[in-house]
Amino acid sequence: MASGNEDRPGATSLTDAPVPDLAVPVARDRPTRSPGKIALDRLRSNLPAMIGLAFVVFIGLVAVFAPQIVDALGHPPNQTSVDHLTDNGLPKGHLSGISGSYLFGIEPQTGRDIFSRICYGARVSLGISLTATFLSMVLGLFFGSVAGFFPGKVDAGISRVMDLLLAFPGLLFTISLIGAVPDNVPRPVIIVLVLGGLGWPYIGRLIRTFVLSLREREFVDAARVSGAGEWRILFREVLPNLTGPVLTYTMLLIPGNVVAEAALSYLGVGIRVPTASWGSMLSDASAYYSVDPFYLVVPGLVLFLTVFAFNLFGDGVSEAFNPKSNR
Amino acid sequence: MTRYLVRRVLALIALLFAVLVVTFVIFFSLQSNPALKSCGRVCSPERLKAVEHKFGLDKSQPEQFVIYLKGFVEGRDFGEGDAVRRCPAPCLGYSFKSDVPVLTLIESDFPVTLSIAVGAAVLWLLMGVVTGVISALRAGTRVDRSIVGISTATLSLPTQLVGYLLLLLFCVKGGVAFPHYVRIADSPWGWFTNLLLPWITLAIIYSAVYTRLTRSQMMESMQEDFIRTARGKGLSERKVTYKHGARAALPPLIVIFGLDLGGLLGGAFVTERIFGMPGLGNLAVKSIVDLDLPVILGVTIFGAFFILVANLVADIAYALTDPKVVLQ
Amino acid sequence: MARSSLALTPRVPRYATAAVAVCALALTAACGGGSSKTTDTSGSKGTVGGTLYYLSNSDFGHLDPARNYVTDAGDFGRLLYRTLTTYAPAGGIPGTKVIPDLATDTGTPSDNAKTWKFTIKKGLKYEDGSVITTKDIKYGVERTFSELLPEGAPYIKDALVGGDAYKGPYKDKAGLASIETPDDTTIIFHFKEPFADFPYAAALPGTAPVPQAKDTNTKYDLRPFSSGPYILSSYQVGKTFTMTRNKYWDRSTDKARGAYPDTVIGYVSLDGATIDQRMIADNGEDKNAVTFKLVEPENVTKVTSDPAIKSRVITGPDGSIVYTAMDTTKKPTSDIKVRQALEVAWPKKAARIAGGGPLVTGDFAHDVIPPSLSSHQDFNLYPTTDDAGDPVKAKKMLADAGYPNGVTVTVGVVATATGQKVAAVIKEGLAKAGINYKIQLIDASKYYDIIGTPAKQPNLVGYAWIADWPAASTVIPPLFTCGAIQPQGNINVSNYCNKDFDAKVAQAKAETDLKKADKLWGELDRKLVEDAVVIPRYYGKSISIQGSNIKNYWSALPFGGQVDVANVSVK
Repeated sequence: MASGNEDRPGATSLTDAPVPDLAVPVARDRPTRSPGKIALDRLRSNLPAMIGLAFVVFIGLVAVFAPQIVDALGHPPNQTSVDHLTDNGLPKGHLSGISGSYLFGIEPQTGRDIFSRICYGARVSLGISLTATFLSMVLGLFFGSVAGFFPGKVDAGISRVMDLLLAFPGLLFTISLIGAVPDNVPRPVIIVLVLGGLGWPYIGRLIRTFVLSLREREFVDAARVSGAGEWRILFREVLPNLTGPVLTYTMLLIPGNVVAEAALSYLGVGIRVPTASWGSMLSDASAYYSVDPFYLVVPGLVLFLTVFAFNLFGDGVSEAFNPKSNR
Repeated sequence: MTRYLVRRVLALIALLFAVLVVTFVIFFSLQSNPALKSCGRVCSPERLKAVEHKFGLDKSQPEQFVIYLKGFVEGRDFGEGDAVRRCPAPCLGYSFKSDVPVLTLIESDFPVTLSIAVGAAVLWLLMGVVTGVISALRAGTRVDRSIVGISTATLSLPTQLVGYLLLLLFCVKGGVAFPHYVRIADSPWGWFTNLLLPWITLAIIYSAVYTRLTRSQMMESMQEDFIRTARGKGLSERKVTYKHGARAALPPLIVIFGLDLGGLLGGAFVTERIFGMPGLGNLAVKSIVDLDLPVILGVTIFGAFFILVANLVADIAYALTDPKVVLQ
Repeated sequence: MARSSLALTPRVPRYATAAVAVCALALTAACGGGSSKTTDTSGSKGTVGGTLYYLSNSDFGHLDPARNYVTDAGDFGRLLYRTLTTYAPAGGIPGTKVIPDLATDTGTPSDNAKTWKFTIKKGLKYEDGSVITTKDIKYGVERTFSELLPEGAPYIKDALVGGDAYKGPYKDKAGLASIETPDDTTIIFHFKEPFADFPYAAALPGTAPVPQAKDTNTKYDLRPFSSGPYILSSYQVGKTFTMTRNKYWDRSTDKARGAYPDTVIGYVSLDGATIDQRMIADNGEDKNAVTFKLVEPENVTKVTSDPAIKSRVITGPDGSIVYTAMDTTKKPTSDIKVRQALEVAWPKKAARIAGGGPLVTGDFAHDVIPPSLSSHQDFNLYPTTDDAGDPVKAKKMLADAGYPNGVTVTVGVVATATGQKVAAVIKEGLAKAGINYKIQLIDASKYYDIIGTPAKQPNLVGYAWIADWPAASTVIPPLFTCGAIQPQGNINVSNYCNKDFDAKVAQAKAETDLKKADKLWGELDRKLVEDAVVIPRYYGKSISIQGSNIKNYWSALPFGGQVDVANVSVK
């Protein structure tokens, strides 16, 4: 987990203690209850994790039903209205001009509804984060397991590519790459490709290590004896054993990508308005921190709570699947 | 050990070269022409050609790459007629925008990034290890649970929110002077006070990782046989904890610490921007806007260099602190 | 000269749609340009001594006089070197008057202004006590021809006889024959065509003397050899600089500079928002600080409503014209009726609120020549109530012109926060007129490349222009004539090419009677609006805050409304 150039520990992930512990193979013993069931039970009894999950579900619902929510409680997210602004473009009234009609206040200079933009922003922020994470996981799982399972040239080739990608100053490379892509490619697509495409070696390395050790296990030999092909063994026998670490890492990567989206916006290469994302809102609000701090706090708090919820849930998942790590 | 080192250093050079190739290709596939930036507002085609010639952009991309590489290895001449200037190896070229050698720009901005990164690292390590040890010793108590909870929370804070709220609280409302970078040579005290807010911002976010890592490593090592043996020998609990427990928790901490620090040394982009610190991150972002290709290339290589060196150092430090690991 | 850094850094949104001023020595002789109340202490005198601080979010592009072509460097360049002529030390229109600097007068033209002769004052010295000669001025001008130093203003080198073939002193040892120096105090320039405005062009940094022995070519940028009141004693590019007194500068020979502080210290790597906060707080050495940085839109209300801060706020016209150009060659804006409907529909009022209000943008414009030029005339060919735009009327105009379902126009918008906000507001305003305003966001780094390439540019693009000196001849010919259209780096962004118009431009340029010339320029100005070549948006304004100890300051039109640093006093 070499970190990139970001102002964030552990680069694209917010990885910490659990990762080294993941090196303990997961399918250790086979008790009467399946390990998955035990883990789920353990997760269910973890209160902070459940609170985190509840919030994640809540935000997910907001994202899914953003149009309905905004229809009922707000104004269309891109509708501008300078009537509520002073001649200099600041919202009239206190706390960003908060009112029953504008629940979280009004965006300076355009008069857009901050509440509506937060709801719609959930779609973009979560959408980008989930897709980028999914892309990283698919790539990492595929290349990591192939590298671990087929030693020699294949492994060497894939490992070198991973080394190269990990050597790049992550954020700098991301900014310059996004800047170099022609303007007509939609920003969300570029951001997903770049975050996902640069994030997979972290998981790839991890998976490779697991597969390396699993490859030597009896059940793999047994499958081989029964005449199964190598790819079949990899996908049917080896990979199912990686559920724990994959889940854990996914839960760490998602909030990491939410934060990365915000950092990209702040540095000028994120989602472009009028499309709302929490990152672009936070970045816009940072200009107003001294005259209208409430505007900064709204997207900042939403971003914080979401990442916090994901981390709480992620910790729970990690503990549930690797009981040794934290308790 | 020597063979290991040689092998790693060779790999490092190969990777740096690969980074250079990839960055070069990406930048020269840019659709915009950097020469336009220096052409003045009434830009005739002749004038544009002259600027392209000055920057060497009139040559083919592979040619430009070879020239760049040669410059890195043997140095390179810039200019014309009487006004030829030697850029000695390792030459990273001249900035298109300011005509200053790229290396000079990096040398001038690196101390800022270094100051931010090292100061913050010291702070987050202190905060992280202290809270982690407390948490581990009180495992399962309310103190432990609060520390773990708080660290999960601070880990989740967006840098911008922390930074701007600190500025609002201390500078806008509290009347503390707004930070600006002061060289340590000019005024050690000024350097320290002006960097405090950036340090705190980074430390709040980073320290959580160290709290959690210290805690889990300590707890694990306290279960190990050698601790039980030490206790059996009648050593005080204090000595057991710090001498044996903490020591065993050290190697993984060193690795993560090295990697985090190495990453930050290439530029603390967000923090530098919030506090207006003219470090490498700031230089890189400006250069991207100005299409100052040699500077972007230079900063990328420089950042990659730190990441790779940090990896190497972390591995070696890990081996030195953990007798179980043998380098080969 | 160009306002430096406008809109090119993400947090310095100056003009609404993107406009990024380009170059600019500014303005002229008539009307006071704008109605704003300018805090102006010109006339009073400063006191010698003290340290002046300068806060900036961007370093000078170039201090080398051959490359110095933006307003901040132009302003500070005057501390380091003197030129043949310069601007009078005053705010507003009086400050746009050209006065002699090194020279004894503003030049003697002959041969129909194709030849200009200057004599320089005796006993002027450089920082080492050596004497300034006209040979050094000739050498300084010759340097501007070098490919290594391409950034400076092109006027003099484009006009000199034999300039096409000359490659600058590093390659071409013989020098340029069209600049003669019969003795050490005389210099004669020979131009290809009449150059009536040469005294203005001579006030640009290009005529600063550079002794050949002290020329360090590309390194000269970091340490110009001083002929002015200060020496650049230390300079960390991108961070800080210190200027200290040049003891050989003689106050009695210099009517343009007060040069009151003993030391000038600059911090040029600060964050834009932080500068506002520091200037508002006015603590410690910031009391002695000046800044050119325009107040961020979000802080304007605060700094203009708090009396303690307001007294330190300096506002005034910056001499710019900010407009949206309409490509006259691309459908549908190739149809004049569509363009006229856009003029009527344009929601100027809402756009200005989104841009941060009148103090950061400017007064509504209705023509191309700003009020600070004597050729400006007041007229409004597309009046709407409060400049709010009239979508109903515009919709009808479009229907009458054969577009009952409206039109779609593409627009290039620079991807800064304010640029995008203004575009969003305009989009909604135009939608009411049935105009689909299709926004194409362009990175700040690529903006001029894309809008300056006619093949790639969208229908509409934002632009801003500040004249290099106060004459319409530096506004209309470079922006709206056929010859100005370039395949790359184009600035006639309307691609307006009208032979009759060009013929009249030639006539106006040749007219030596100022009144008659102004009338001709005025007619050309009206024609541009009649043809709806551009949507004029603002006569630009600048607003900045100065420290409480700063005295003897004014908004200097030749430097885009910035404070004249050569005359401020800290005591």
